[in-house]
Amino acid sequence: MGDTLKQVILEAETLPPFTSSARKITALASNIDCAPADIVRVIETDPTMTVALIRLLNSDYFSMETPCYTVSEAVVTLGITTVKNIALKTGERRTLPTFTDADPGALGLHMHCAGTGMIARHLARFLALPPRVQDQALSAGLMHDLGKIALLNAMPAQYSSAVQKAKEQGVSLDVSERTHLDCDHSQVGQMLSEAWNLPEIFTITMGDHYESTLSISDERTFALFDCVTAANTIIQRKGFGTSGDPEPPKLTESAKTRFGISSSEALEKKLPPTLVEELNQLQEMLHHA
Amino acid sequence: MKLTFRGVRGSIPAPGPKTVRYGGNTTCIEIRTDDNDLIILDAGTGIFPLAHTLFPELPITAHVFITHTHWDHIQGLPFFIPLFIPGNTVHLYGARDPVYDRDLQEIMAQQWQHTYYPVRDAELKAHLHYHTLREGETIPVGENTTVTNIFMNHPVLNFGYRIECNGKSIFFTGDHEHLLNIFQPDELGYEGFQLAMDEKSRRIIDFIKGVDILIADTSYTEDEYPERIGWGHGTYDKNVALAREAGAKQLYFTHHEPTRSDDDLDTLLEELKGRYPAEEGMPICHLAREGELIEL
Repeated sequence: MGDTLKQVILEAETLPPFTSSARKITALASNIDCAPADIVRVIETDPTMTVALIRLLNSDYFSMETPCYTVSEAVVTLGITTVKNIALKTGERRTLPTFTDADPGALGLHMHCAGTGMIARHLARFLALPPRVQDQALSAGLMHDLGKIALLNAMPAQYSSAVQKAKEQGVSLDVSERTHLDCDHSQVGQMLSEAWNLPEIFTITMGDHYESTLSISDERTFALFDCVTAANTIIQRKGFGTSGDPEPPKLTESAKTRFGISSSEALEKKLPPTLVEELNQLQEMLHHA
Repeated sequence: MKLTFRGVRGSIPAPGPKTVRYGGNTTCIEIRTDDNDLIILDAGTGIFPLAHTLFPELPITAHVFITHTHWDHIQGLPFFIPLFIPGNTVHLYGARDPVYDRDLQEIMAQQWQHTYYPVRDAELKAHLHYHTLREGETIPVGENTTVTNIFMNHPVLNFGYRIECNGKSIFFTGDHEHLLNIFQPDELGYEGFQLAMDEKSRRIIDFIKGVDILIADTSYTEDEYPERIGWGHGTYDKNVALAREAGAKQLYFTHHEPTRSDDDLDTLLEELKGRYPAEEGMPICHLAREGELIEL
């Protein structure tokens, strides 16, 4: 493992949340009567808060009979008060820095992650996957760029520069990352997922969210993977948030077959008509935190 | 196996003429195995009167199982006199703090800080051993007894403990509120939450299955509950339902609400017996009473 990668993995132990969700959760938690569902909705927009819970529940201490995939499952095991306090703790010391010059406060990256999660869940619903698997799609979509968050956390200036150079040079973000940082966000994501004992779906979606080169053990995981890659394409095509990639990724062949479509435009038509409104509400929520 | 309630009040001690029959001390239950090994469930203020009964047996070995570390379940521990006497051994068991990643010893260390108490735990004369438990871990006590745990539902991690001794069994919930779906039925996430919740409820029922005595946190009536949702405590009717589903033979209501008088408690039990007449599958219901000894 290279020195950069080692440093990034080490510093990910205290991964901070996005500023917007840290502010929102602090505001909610200052009201003793706040609704538990409101707390969960905020956590479900933040990859760091979500992964803190999922990682904890999949740790040796809890050694659950079945792995934990979602914030809801964490609430059922830990109770909403403990979940709220863990989320608060992630933002206790600091929040994520600026992503790029055009994305101060990393709000654009936050929108990208939360939007991908939202669409991935809709796609899982479209495929009529079971309700708990739909929720897993939300977590997997939300956390798919955790590698970027870890890089941004460990080396904000260099990472911001790598993103900027990808745009200037017209190369994909992962190429720019490898050129300038000696590692890419997929490598980081995969290593974090494996080190934190996260379920396979997270290792795959964090480790390779364009066209899977990793072996996928079962059909349900493959379906979830397709939901996340397709959601990643759709959210970027819609211009919602900032992924750091100059161009949206193409829809994978696997996703085309799975959803029975030939283009991402056709897939967008299969999403609920309320999606635009939902994305607007999400944007509003993150902006006004 | 024998059990004696040493503290049955919830939240805060409630001394006074109106609580003298059921008692005002906070949670503590003494259990004696068939071999007379000493198990103590929680160290609320009830552990102080218990300590005074132990003098004739010194030196002792006590196994103290903490359901959770809210004040009313640990406040008596610094006053557990055997801790100050050489030759005694105290094993303290409980959960980890997942928020600040602390084991049981680190959590309890706060209680022995000089701002809260004049004695540091390093100064205690007894042998004090801390054991941070995982869910499902089985602790043998003596030759014939085991104590196993399961996570219940409370604002902090809370173990319910099942004690088995020669075919007899007791389950204590610690503080526990039945699970509730936090989403509305028409909201995304409702179904997933409900399924996770149903699975957890089923695990709890399976864990309690066939127990001889179920001791349950029963702080509220159904009428009081809507104003106290999320506080982490149970109701009379929900605990009857739990006992029936688990096939518990006897049900003891404890963690009495601190403003509840003895007469109020009697009235509530009478009303409950009116709502749930004796029939097959219905547990025999009791109010836990400080000092009451029950033999299994």
